[in-house]
Amino acid sequence: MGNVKYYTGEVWFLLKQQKTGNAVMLMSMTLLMALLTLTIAWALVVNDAASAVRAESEIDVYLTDDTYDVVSDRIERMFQGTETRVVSAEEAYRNMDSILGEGQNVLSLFDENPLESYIEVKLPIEMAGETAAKIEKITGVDYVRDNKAVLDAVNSFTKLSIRLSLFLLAGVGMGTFLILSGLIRQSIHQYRDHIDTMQLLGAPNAFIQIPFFGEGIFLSFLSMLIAFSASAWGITALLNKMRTAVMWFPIPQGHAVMLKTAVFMAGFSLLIGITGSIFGFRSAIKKA
Amino acid sequence: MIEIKGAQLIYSSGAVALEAIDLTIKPGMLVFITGESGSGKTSLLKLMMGIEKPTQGKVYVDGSDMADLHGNALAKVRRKIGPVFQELKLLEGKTALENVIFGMRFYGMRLETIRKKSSEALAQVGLQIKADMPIETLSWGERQRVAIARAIARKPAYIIADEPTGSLDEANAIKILSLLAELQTPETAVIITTHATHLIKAMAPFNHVSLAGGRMIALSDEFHDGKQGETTKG
Ligand SMILES: Nc1ncnc2c1ncn2[C@@H]1O[C@H](COP(=O)(O)OP(=O)(O)O)[C@@H](O)[C@H]1O
Ligand SMILES: [Mg+2]
Repeated sequence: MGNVKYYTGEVWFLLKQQKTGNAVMLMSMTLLMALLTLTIAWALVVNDAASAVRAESEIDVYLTDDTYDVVSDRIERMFQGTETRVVSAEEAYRNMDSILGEGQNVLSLFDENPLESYIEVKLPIEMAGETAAKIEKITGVDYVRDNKAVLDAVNSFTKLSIRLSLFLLAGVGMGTFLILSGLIRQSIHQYRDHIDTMQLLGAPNAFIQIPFFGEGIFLSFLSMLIAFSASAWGITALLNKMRTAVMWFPIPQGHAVMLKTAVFMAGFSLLIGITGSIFGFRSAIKKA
Repeated sequence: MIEIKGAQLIYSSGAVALEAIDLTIKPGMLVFITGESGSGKTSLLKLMMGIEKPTQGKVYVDGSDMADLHGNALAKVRRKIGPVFQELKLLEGKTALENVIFGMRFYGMRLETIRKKSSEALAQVGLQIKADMPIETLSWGERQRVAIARAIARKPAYIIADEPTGSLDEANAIKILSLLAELQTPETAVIITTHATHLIKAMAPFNHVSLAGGRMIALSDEFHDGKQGETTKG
């Protein structure tokens, strides 16, 4: 316990000794961390939304006659894992109505309901393509509509977003790592004689290193905290606004995204804190 | 026990600091190492502390070959030594007491125990009133005493002091030397270097190593047959 107090004291000592240097480093780390917070939140939103869209992979089957039950049965028997439901023309009208929202008068231009009943087939995403083609050949089926085109678009958008996020993650990871290891290296150079003395007095390696690691982890974590708390409120508000504005795209709840982002950022900052410090220490100290 | 067998030390610059050193320091010995400036005194102590490795021969501290030790294993041996460096190596920005405490931080002792022992050590060198003064505000003589306090508070098996009387006037030098000499116990060997040969004449019975140009030119009898006194070698 005495040592915990000692180490915190030493970390505080190190932080105080290079106020300006540490402040400048902290600021650049904070900017990078803020960028990463945005990136991660963005990636999570896209990923969540994409998997929500993908889970909704469906084929709408329109018939030439009224044999909805027969055809439904047939589809479920032919394709393991599908689930069918008959959507009446009235339900289709109500759905369209709610999607169009205030454009209500569009539908009221029609005297009669312009929409037909259809069979909604829910199925696993990997079955989507060929199943649609096969269903189309069943007798009584007029035509099918699948959301494959939408899914493909969502998929490539997701891929692009993830790739961009990974790119930014790598960049920010590299940037923060370099800043931090540089900072630790500088700190060690400044305390070279302290370290020499400790080694001569027989201090174990861990005892010598822990204060520097503490400094690194503290600065990394602090920059993450500042960046996160500065951006979290804005991102949450933005997401929640988008949720109500963009009905057709399933934006996840703001606080759920931010919780995951927080966990990620905490882990990230600790990882950078630890590896950056170790690297900084290794590169500054020649082995005794 | 510190055993030095046929040790030679040539620095990478090519300077031959030590040549053909054979020396055994047993627990409880009081050893003075004398010689002019540049004769190799500091180098000899560096071998004992594993700061330099012999270019020939062997150095053993309590049976460990110092040439084989690195990292934490070397640190462990160094914790048996209470060093007083010629340039003191006290930590600036810390108080006298903190410096003494610092020398004991990694012995796995409770902080209260460390504090108590550190205060006692400062009292032993007569500096308890300066305990909370930043080290930069103390005079060189006072700093030397802090360095000694840091070395002795550790209750080491070997106290190794390099020119502890360095820049002191004669009266203070004798005080410091007596203080160090008194630390000799059956368990604690005290090893002191000095170029002020005239000062040690008055000391208690001691063993004497005299260096010149990196070689031992004289060695007291005890190193040969256990008796006190001084003879000239060769
Ligand atoms: N780090 C070093 N590199 C090169 N030469 C050194 C080094 N330290 C000491 N020497 C040389 O080794 C010799 C012995 O030095 P030293 O052990 O410091 O003597 P003393 O302590 O008796 O004054 C001297 O000639 C000195 O110049
Ligand atoms: Mg010297």
